[in-house]
Amino acid sequence: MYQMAFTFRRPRLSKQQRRALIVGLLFISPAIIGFFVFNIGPIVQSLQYSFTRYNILQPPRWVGLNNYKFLIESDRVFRIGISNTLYMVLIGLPIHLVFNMLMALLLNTRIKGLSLYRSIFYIPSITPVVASTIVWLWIFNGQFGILNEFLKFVGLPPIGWLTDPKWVKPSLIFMGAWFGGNTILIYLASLQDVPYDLLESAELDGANAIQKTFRITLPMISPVIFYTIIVNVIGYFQYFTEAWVMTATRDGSAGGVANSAMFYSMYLYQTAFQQFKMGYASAQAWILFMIVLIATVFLFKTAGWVYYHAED
Amino acid sequence: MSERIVSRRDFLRASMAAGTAAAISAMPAGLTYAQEQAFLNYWTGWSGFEFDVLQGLVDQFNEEHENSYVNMTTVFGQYEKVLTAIAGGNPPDVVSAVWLHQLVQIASQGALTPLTAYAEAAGIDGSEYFPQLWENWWYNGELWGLMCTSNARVLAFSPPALAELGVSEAPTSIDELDEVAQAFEIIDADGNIERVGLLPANLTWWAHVFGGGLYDEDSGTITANDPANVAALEWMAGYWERLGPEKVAAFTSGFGDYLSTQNPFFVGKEGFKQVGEWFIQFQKKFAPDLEMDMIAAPYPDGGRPNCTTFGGSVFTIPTGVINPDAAWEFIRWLSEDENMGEFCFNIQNIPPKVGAATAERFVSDHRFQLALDLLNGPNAFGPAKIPVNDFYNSRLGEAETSVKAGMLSAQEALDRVAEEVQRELDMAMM
Amino acid sequence: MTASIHWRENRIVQDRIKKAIAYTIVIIMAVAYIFPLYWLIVTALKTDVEIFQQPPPIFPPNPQWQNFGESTTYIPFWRYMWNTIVISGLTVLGTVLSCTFIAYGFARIRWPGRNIIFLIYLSTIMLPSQVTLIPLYLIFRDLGWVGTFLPLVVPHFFGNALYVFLLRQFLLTIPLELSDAAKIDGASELGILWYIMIPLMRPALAVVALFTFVQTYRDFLGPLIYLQNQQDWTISLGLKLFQNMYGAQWQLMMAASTLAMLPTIVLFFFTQKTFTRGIALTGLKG
Repeated sequence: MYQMAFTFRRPRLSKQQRRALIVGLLFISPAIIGFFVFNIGPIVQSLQYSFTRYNILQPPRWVGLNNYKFLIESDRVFRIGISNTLYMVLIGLPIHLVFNMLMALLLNTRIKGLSLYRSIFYIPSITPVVASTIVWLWIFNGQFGILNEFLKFVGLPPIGWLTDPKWVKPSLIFMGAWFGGNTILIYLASLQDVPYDLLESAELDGANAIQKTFRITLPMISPVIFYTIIVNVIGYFQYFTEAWVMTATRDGSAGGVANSAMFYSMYLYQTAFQQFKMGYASAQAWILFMIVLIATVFLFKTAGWVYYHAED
Repeated sequence: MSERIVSRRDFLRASMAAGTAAAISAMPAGLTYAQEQAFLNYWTGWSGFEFDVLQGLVDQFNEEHENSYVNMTTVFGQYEKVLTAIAGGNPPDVVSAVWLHQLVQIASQGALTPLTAYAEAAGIDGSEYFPQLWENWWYNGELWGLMCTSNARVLAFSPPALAELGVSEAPTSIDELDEVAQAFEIIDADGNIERVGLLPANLTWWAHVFGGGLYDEDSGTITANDPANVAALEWMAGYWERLGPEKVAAFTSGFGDYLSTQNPFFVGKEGFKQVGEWFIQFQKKFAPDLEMDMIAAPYPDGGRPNCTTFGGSVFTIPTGVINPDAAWEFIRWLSEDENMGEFCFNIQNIPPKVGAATAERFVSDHRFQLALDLLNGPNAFGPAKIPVNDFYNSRLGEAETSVKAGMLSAQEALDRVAEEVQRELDMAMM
Repeated sequence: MTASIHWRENRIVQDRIKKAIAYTIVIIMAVAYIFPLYWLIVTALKTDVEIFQQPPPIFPPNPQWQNFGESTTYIPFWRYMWNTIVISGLTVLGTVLSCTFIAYGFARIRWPGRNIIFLIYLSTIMLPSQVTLIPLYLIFRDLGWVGTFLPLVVPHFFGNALYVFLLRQFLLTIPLELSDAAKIDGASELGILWYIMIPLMRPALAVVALFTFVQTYRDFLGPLIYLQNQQDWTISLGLKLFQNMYGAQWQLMMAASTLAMLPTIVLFFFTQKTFTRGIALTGLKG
């Protein structure tokens, strides 16, 4: 009897520890409340809604797995949304990361006026998205856009940057590079942390610049690269504002010609807040949740290339 | 000891700051108004000079009604806000930014207050209205809204511009239309479009003109892939194919503001423009010197002569409004022959009431008479009364752009629309 | 000897060439990054006729400075600006306040289980916001908050995992002996937080405040969902409306966009150091 009671008892805390626990929990109480009210609660609710048909104005009706079935089997635009989003993750993201890394490596060559360049590459990423997207709309404009004017100047045919289904996504990636200059600075900051003596000793061993970059520099900053990959993958699954502003029409719809710029979150937004199919949209949200979860787990599982140095 | 007291006060200070912040942000940023008055928020889809005309009537209403005050806001360009507001629990009291094709859908979602009893009490039984309009406002045995304006689709062109091409008679068949439209085109050496004859848009209209239709009410089937519809879309896309989709895109993206003097039609860059009778007023406003005429859509063999589609904004009362009686009074007042006529005349729309529409000041313009005849004729088509029209339209729009871009054949695109919309409809009816 | 000198000279030449290439690329890219902003201002200064000129003038032929003034009356610009600032300001306040407490609770108080709970809390960073979007909307709707600033502001009073992480990292670098000594002197945890930690945390708090401000200022989706009355809109919604309603008033739209960008850009120039520190911090460690 005594034995049983003992095993069920929680690890005994001293008075001091108990006090620390209470004070600690009090300090983090906003986080606890936030965690349950703004995260766990809604996640569970969202799962519940995903099994219903619910337009807010009429009470929800249980439909079982129908929403999921319909999404996966018959919703073509949903599939377009997924494939467009994957396009951005699998093509746009690598382009951005490689480009940003190259720029950071360039800036790391002890170039003069670094702080000026830093500002130039960083500022676009803090401008309001809508405001900057508006200028890009004008730059991309088929007839009066400066980009086509340039093509004309060098003797190339104009491109329907935003109107040609083939070109919309590349255009968005192009613009995205401009918005993503902060990644250059993240990389640059980590590059500057790479110990110089390591590079110097490699040089003495006869390593050339490319070898140094691939054998020392990149492995040393691989945690930061990994971090930016994770953050950007999640970010692209939520990709919304740029594409929305770029393709929105006067009747409130968006997505470009033949849905060529319809992304996951845009379709989710349309379903939820324009058509008020809250149950159907919740099912989309949950599928998104699962995709992001799987992608994250996959990234962590394949993170063998990430090198953590001992001092961390 | 003192350490503790101080820190508590600081904590208090911090939490008070937070509380104040929350309180500030909680304060509704609304307008204040006298309590005894019914304050009505009215959302309209009209903007520009049309808004100003309507504002004049609203002012008159406010003057005549001591107990109500109507505050009009335009939601032009963001019509989706209407449903957002109703669903969000903050509905305006009156909305006219509901298109006729959306009425059934919005009503079936439970977003609107039925007006049946109000209309009955006011003696509005539909006898004064054009029957096909009146009929379109009913669903599930209830009246959901009233229109104060209506439109019929026509084709506008400039007779002198045609005369320059040696054309004296307006086209009546599709072949004639094609011929004139192509003669009007000016293309530079690189294939860039400088002037275009016609860019057919809006499959709904052309489908009916070609003898097709979108919905069969008797069998409850979506008929998007009716052979006539396919033919219509093929014909429309033919223009893109010939001119080059990217050239057309470049041409249209350079268009100036529709509601301005830069409208390509006004500057002679577009030969035929698909519009409604309301375009008369636009032309008077933005291109007063332009000589403009209007015709019914030319039609092919087996198509429909004098065919038009009609639509317009429906005045409705959302569910959950505080003062539906006052909201109704505003709609009823605006529907009075005199007020409706005044509004319609100033923006050159067709009044939905026969009496008001046939007044001399309207029909003295033969273009207006044409629109009126079309609306009143046997080949006038309203939207299908199904709760998935928004979905239907967006799929049709997608099909239209895909076919024009050369990504799909008309048959493929419309088969897909028929299948998807049917599925959506079946689900909505479940 | 001579071979060595030769080698060295060669190397210097090589280095010079490399440098030249690096500079060329960096300068070209810098120009490319500035160009859209330049084009924005140039377009804002054109007349409605010059906008459509082909080829477009690279400099505004006769700068229309009044476009800026006109753009602020075309839409209720200052009203939208004020709304944006209010929402951003309150969000910053809530984030800084709550994250300070939470981070302190995780980093400076030794209670059992704090590390595992912190990890669970941190995992919310990876949660796509779309998952909670709909239920939160419905909750706020039931509270009657839709159409007010509350849904945009209140959640920030309950912490932000990323910034808690950042502040916690920072607090962990402060030796524990410091608080122990204060405790012996009879200071409470709140006293330590207020008198010792907050002064030390100032640079980190500045980073949190700045990043939160910029993030909120740029937000589009949140206001799009929750703000309904036109007079309550933020500048991002207002600019979008501009585009919908007035079609091709490009020059005014550009002028308004320029003005809307100014606050963050000006802020950047005044707080460059903090930004640079923040970038290094936010990019740090996975």
